[in-house]
Amino acid sequence: MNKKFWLVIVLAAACAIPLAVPNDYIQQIVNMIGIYIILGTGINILTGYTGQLSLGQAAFFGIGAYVTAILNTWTGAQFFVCLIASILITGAASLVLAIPALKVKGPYLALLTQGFGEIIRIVMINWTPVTNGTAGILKIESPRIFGFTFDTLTRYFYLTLFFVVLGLLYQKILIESRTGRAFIAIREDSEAAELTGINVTTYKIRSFVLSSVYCAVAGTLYAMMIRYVSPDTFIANTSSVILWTAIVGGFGTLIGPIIGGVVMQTLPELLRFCGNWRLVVYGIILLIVILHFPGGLYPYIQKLLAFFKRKGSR
Amino acid sequence: MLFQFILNGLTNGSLYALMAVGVTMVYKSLGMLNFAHGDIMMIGTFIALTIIKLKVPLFASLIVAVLATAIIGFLLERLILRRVEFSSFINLLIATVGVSYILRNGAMVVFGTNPQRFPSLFSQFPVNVAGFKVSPQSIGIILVSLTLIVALHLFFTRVKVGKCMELASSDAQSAAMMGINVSHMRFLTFGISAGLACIAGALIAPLTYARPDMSAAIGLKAFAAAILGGIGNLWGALLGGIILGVVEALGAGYISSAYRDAFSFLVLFFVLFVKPTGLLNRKIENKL
Repeated sequence: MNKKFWLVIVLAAACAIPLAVPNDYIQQIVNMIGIYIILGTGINILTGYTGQLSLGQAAFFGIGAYVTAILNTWTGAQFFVCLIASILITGAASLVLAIPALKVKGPYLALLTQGFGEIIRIVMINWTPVTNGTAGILKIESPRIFGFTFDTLTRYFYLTLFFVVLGLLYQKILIESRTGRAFIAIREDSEAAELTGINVTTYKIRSFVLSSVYCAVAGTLYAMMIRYVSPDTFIANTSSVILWTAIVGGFGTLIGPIIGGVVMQTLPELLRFCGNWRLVVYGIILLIVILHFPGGLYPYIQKLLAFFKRKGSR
Repeated sequence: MLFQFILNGLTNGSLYALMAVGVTMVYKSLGMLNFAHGDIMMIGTFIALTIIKLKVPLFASLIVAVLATAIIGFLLERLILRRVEFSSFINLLIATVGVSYILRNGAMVVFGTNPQRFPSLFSQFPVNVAGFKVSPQSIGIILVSLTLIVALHLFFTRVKVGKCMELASSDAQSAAMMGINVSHMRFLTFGISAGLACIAGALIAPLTYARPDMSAAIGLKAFAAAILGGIGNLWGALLGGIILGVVEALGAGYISSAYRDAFSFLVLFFVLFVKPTGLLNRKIENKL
């Protein structure tokens, strides 16, 4: 009861965010936080819960964004068509990657996924008739759903929020289900999981495909918000940022991606005063976080909350 | 044409081999791929370029740059990797990715994003040998790489320090029991690996120009070469590098040069799928 109450309050607060946002620039950052929460949730399922490391999430994000961009500019397809097509094509791509990925783990898996990311980027740059090469695809339409156009960033925020909530809810349901328990068993000890009758192969594939579906949704939202896609966005750096989004918050925790999304997207903006050195300082701060808070920030935030609760009850 | 492609492949392949040797050494001692290896190479190249611009003779500046890069390798091990080593595998990997991120973005700020010319150690004008055009640069690169790898092999099998390093990385516990300072040996491994990366960078840069983003593709190919040959194996790294270089050159020549980099990653996919232990390794203790 109490929990549900808090959930409603948090949701209401989230809905009220645009009221507190002074301009479009900050609204865009807030929307990007939403997109990165979705990306972070995706990799949280794959790496945090199933223990399969991926350095190629930017590739799935990119495929999702490009499918949307191409469908929309070529055929004028609307939001839901683009979304479903993105999900299907990205899911198929992740199946292709999952086949070799099943045979390896640890650093090899990281390498394999990174190589996959590079191949996708090379295709984006060189398959000019379809992807328009390094110039990217311009003039993507804003989404129109049941006659309502999400053409301003504030309106877009609610669309993003809807998918963030949906993604997080699905993550919660998934992790508490039989599938989620199987994922965790595979992470803890894949041989023991196999012995208890869990089909490790199919669950790993499921985990891969699920995380790529999250990337596809994020990709569609990204392409229709920025209304421009180019290969520069979907580089190895983006994959690292996506992985960090899940790590900084706390791997394998339900709200870790939210913390990660907020930290990872606001930090570069707060560091604007560093000028060109911004991304270097960003990297150093993240490295320090990894060195000193190996479990992410979530356990510390939990302690803080517990502290306030005790204070409140006194 | 075929001869030209193969020569190009051998040239690039020997450079990948040189990088792969560094990857393999670090993997053996740390149990982890060093995702910052390519970026260490890039930083080494730019250090060399900066010193050359101060009008220091090419050869002397290369030596200084190799030493400086080796120091960066030392620092990476001592300041960062040693601290996360015991926390978890994922954190170790993320730490190397983080270092790579910092080095790459730092290099973009300090050295700029524009490609810069890098003077070559060897003449670039082709010479006619028995009807074939051969550039002294290619031959020079192949010879330097081969010499270094053979020298490294001799160092690991004949010299006492080298033997100690070999033992420390393959069986740290018994090495420690025999009185070898394992942490010093690992320190040295990182230094040598970084130094080799710097030499590789100085050989690659005249061909591709010095750019902060040169690291990504070459770093990945070094991993691919190391795994293809069998990780932890010096000759495997050489074999893997050469195969990768030749496949890539033939693919670029006969199929499409735009997808050049994609060919080597496809080779990597194939190897990981068919034989993840690599060509020269029978089995690997640490299951993959």
